[in-house]
Amino acid sequence: MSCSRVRNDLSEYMDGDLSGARLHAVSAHLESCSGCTQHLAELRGVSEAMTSLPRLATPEPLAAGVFDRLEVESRGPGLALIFRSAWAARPLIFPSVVPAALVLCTTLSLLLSMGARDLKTYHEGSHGQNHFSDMADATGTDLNPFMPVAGVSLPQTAGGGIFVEDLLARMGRPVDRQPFFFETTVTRDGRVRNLRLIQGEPYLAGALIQAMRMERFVPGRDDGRPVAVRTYRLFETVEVRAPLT
Amino acid sequence: MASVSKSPGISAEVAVATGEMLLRSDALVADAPESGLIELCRQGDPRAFARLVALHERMVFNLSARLLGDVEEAKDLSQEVFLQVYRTIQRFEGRSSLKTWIYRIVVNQCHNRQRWWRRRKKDQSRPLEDLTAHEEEALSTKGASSGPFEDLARREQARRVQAGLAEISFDQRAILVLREVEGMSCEEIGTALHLPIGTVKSRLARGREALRQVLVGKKEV
Repeated sequence: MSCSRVRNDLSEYMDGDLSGARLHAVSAHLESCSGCTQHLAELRGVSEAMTSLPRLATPEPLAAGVFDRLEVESRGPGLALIFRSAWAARPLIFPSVVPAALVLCTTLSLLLSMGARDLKTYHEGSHGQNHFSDMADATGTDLNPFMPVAGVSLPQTAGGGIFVEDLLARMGRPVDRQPFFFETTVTRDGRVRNLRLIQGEPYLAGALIQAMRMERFVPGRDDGRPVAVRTYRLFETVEVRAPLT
Repeated sequence: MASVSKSPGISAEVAVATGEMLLRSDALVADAPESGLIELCRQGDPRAFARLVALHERMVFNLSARLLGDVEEAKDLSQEVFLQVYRTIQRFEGRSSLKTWIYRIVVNQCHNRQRWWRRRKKDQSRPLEDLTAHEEEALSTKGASSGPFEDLARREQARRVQAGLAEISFDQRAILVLREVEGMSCEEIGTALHLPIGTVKSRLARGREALRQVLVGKKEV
């Protein structure tokens, strides 16, 4: 039996786990081989050194620390909250749900009430000399983009004042066909305000603007409530003639 | 109960009965057989769990201290071990002894821990070699030694063995400590670590050889 094979068996030999032919072979080899005998002695020395390691006492009883940790674990919120069932976590969730719901309700109600009235002050300030106390931009326009335009009825002609078409029929001079394109606001009481000539000759549009200002409309409505509506009007087929004298 | 029936008055009888109940309750926890103690722990009895910790803390601390080589780390890990015991004792099936089951938890926790502990908590570490003579004297059960020179030699040998253990692989170290320090048989180690006995024996042989090379090599230098 070679030394390397014997040395592989020395650990079991030490523990008395060898028997039969292997035990005899190792014993016989050890009697004749001083190297392996020395090796065995060293292994025994290692084993004894480990066995004689001092037994350590715990620096302090562990139970108290374990119970402390258990208590922290049982009440700790933080990330553990996510992994708990909703019912187990209710004392921690409910106090934060109530203010969260309040904030959400307040925000929603503010958004819903942002109709014409709340935006009025802002636009009055920004429009300067053209402001009207009862005017605000229609919903869904570029100045009031918060609410959709769907559901807003358009203003309808109500009669009264001067009909623009009559005026158009009588005004002008025989020069050319002149299209006029206006941006106006029909206010909540049906008046026409904020007239702005987008296209057309300003010096020819004076009478038309005066006539339009005298028009009366049934105001547009949003959910039954009268609202100011921005309108665009194109007078395309006007045949401009000589002015009335 | 016999003593209760012999008591003279009713109030005395109740007092004796209550006292006896208390005594018997304490005795139940203190002297309960392992199965009874486990059952009480499963029911959430804190005294039973404290008793369980007291019974096994020395073994858990020693094993983790030898495997990790650090006092503070071993203390922390021992608490972790008992936390895991508390959490999972419902799942303990009793196929092995409670002690064997705890051995497995300790070895597994040490195996997981040594990957990150030294990197993250180096400032808190306290190697076993740093124990002062006074502490070691207080900690050692073999403190009643013959003289100062023997003490010194014993301490030096323990320091060298512990340093040598740190240089061999964890698997070999675990089996070596269970076998030589805890005095477990190869069969018990196999049961605790869920390993075939052949694997235990070969790891033990390789561990002894590795430690021999470390220690003898140092001796020669």
